[in-house]
Amino acid sequence: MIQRLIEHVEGEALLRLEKDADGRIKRADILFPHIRGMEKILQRRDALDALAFTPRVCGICGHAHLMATVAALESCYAQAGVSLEISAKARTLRRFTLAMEMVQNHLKWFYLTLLPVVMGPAYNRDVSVLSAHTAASACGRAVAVMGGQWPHTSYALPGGVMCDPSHVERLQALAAVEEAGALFQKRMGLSVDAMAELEDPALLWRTEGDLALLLRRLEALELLEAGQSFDRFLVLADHTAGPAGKSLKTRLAAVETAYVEEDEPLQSAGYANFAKPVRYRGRFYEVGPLARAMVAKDPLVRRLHRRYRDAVSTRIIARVKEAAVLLCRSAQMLRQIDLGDPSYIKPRYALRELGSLKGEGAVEAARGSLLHRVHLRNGRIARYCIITPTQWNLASATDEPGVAATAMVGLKDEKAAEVVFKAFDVCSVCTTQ
Amino acid sequence: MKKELKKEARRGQIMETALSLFAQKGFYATTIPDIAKKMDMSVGNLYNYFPSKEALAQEIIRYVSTMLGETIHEINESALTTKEKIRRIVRFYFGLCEERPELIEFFLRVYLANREVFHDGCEGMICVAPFMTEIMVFFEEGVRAGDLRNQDFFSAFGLFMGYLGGMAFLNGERILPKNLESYADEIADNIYGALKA
Amino acid sequence: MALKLLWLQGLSCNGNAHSFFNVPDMAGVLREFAFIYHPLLPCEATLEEVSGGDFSPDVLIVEGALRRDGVPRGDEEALTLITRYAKQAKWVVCAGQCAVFGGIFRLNEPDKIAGALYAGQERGGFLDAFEKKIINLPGCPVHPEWLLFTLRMLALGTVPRLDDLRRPVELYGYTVHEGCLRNEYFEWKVDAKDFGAKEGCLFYEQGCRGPYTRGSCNKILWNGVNSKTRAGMPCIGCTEPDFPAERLFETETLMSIPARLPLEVPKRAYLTLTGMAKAFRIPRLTRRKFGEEEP
Ligand code: SF4
Repeated sequence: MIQRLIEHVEGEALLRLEKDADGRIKRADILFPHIRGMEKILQRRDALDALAFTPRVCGICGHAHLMATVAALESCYAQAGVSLEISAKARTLRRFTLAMEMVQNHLKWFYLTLLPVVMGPAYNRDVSVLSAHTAASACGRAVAVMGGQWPHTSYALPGGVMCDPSHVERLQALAAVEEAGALFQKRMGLSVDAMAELEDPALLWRTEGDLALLLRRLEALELLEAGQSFDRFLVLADHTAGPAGKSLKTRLAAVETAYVEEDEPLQSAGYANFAKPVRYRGRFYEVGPLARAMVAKDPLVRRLHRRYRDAVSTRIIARVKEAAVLLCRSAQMLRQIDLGDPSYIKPRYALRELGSLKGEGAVEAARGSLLHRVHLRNGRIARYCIITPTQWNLASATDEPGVAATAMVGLKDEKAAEVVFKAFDVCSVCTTQ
Repeated sequence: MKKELKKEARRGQIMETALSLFAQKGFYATTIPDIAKKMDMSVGNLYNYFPSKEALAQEIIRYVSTMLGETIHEINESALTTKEKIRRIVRFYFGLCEERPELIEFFLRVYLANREVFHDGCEGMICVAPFMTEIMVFFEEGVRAGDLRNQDFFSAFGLFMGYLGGMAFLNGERILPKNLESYADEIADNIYGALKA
Repeated sequence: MALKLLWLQGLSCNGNAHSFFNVPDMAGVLREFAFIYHPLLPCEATLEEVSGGDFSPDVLIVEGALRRDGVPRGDEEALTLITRYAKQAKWVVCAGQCAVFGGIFRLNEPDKIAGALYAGQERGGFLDAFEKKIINLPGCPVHPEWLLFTLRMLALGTVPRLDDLRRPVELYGYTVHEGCLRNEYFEWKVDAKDFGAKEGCLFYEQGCRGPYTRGSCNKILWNGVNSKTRAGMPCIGCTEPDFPAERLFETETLMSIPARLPLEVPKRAYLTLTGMAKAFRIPRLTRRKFGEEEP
């Protein structure tokens, strides 16, 4: 058995690989060794305090946790029969800041996680870091213009958002979106618009840019087709670039969060693991940009899928493309906002006036579907349950390997395993919160 | 220095005189010449002390408020329980009603009833700030000590002062069968009962 | 010679690492500092090498709360690793609320989890032996420019002057309230009627802790453009030892009087000034900022 510490994945994960007689990977256990206990910490707290707590689950996708908390608390109102009015402006601002967080995530992942492992010493550290930095700080700035800061703002709440942007803020945010778009174009060799509309995969290989470079390198390493898994995709929430749904290969169907179930973490001798596997109607599904593209019938990703199925190449391109789509849509969203709309419409009741409530909020985060389930009693949290995208993608059950573990089976060596693993965009801190 | 002190004393005398005249004849019917006459001083000289009747009235309300504030301050700073503090405040207030009815009259009939007089320089609660500050401190500390129920300040304040004002009014109209001070402890207990945590 | 930095983590959300990644001048950072290890940046060594080796950093940066065991980093316990390098380093910079006081994650096991020198508001952390080397930069997360300032001062050979909690005075000598765009509303006691408006101060209803929270959020803006209180989100006091308080989004009042007042302001002074300010209605502060027309 080979044991490998995988670093720079929002913390670390331990890979335990078993090989067969030919040296190919036979079994892969993925272990996440710490837990911080956020679900327990939230117990007995005031419901609105969750707005400040859950973003602190994760330093890179905390904003998605904020949005999931808001959605869960708003659904508590719905369960109580209290209808909330959320202005179009507030909805759009929430989607905008969430999209910005996703873009910073995707580009950081590309430059800081993926390029180094795929390119090996052939990549230029400073160029990578500075590219990631330009994209991330522009996107972070866009969130901050509306939410005050990134990371860890809590500017959205049941009823709307806390900010009140004028044209000044709108233009500041637009400039940030454009800065990220310019970086994308400069480094990837395609404008965000061109990338968002791209349908023909062949064009990707022909552009001069970091993505093409990476693809050619994957090709040389014979990894384009590596990393296939169950070929089942799940999207629990509607999102900026498409609808909720699931896709079994290419067959689409509707989803219901009631079928989402957590299980106990895989036990592996001698090493702690806190990653709880999660299944939909008893089956593992992949979540994230590839799943979203499949469910949204994205033409480029569908064509890649025809050739490579759910392999690393499809997965990687889906994520890079999603960054471009989100940047395009973000600029449109900002322009469409009616600044005269109210930011916040106070709910008629406080949660503590409504007795016992159950709610659930699903949000599409950078890495996929994020689900928060909450049970309130007189405005206090009786139970809080967080199911993260990386649980879907990374966690295995004792009786069945999960999506990433399955994707690694049959790979020729640990290097390939690391590429496949990192292509999922692992987040150690979210997986175990 | 001596001259200053003398002037201060004189201002005090003018205010006391005015207070008694306001109580006898009413605020509007009392004129500056009336006050000057009673003080045995010229009208011109009186204007050296107070430029107008409004200014005089404002000064009086500040004076009353400071006096009330100082006493409640002492009560606040004492080691008494909240319940006991309420008794002290009520006793003090009723004592004042008996001993210096003109002060209470002025507060209830002139200050509260003629807000236009107290416009310029006396907006809102400014002229009664010393009293208001101490009464707020009293309530805040009562809640902090766990003795009083946390609620809106004005709900509690209205209950407290409205009750005392009402009793002072009944007393002034000579409707009460017993003397006011004999009601003090019972009323204090009622107030405590209504406000306690 | 570039200052050698080693960034190690206890129990953390990685938020300080990401926050730091937002420094305005990353090119400068890459030029001026040599990262032995950082959770995001490609660096000289892997965590496994750090854990097996001996890198003698100039500055150890600690992110996250500490616990005696149960927090493996590579083959070692995080605390063992951090303690070993704290011994070697010239300076130990605690980046963020968790490393300084234990933060939110301490609430999971308050008697087992703590920061470097503090367990919440009490003394008694895991790195007491290194007190003289420690510089505390609380905040959830740490402000990237506060950390960069501290590192640059150390690179210049100057230790920033520290207060009694070992925080640089030039960063924590301010309150968050200072520089907030809502100061005039605070002065004249014009409260924000609700969330979602540029107008009004968030101290009276929405729970803003700016007047008693130390930090220069409104002097050195976040992401170069804004702060939470400017945007409309109340300060939640994330730099303070008592973070996180209960009910962060409403003001605790006792008979309508804020239970906590601006730092060192006596209650009577506050109440007197409040009474004064409330007596006046400043028309400009009761209107929408841009007139009645919508923006
Ligand atoms: S919102 Fe907070 S920081 Fe801003 S002025 Fe009011 S109290 Fe101060």
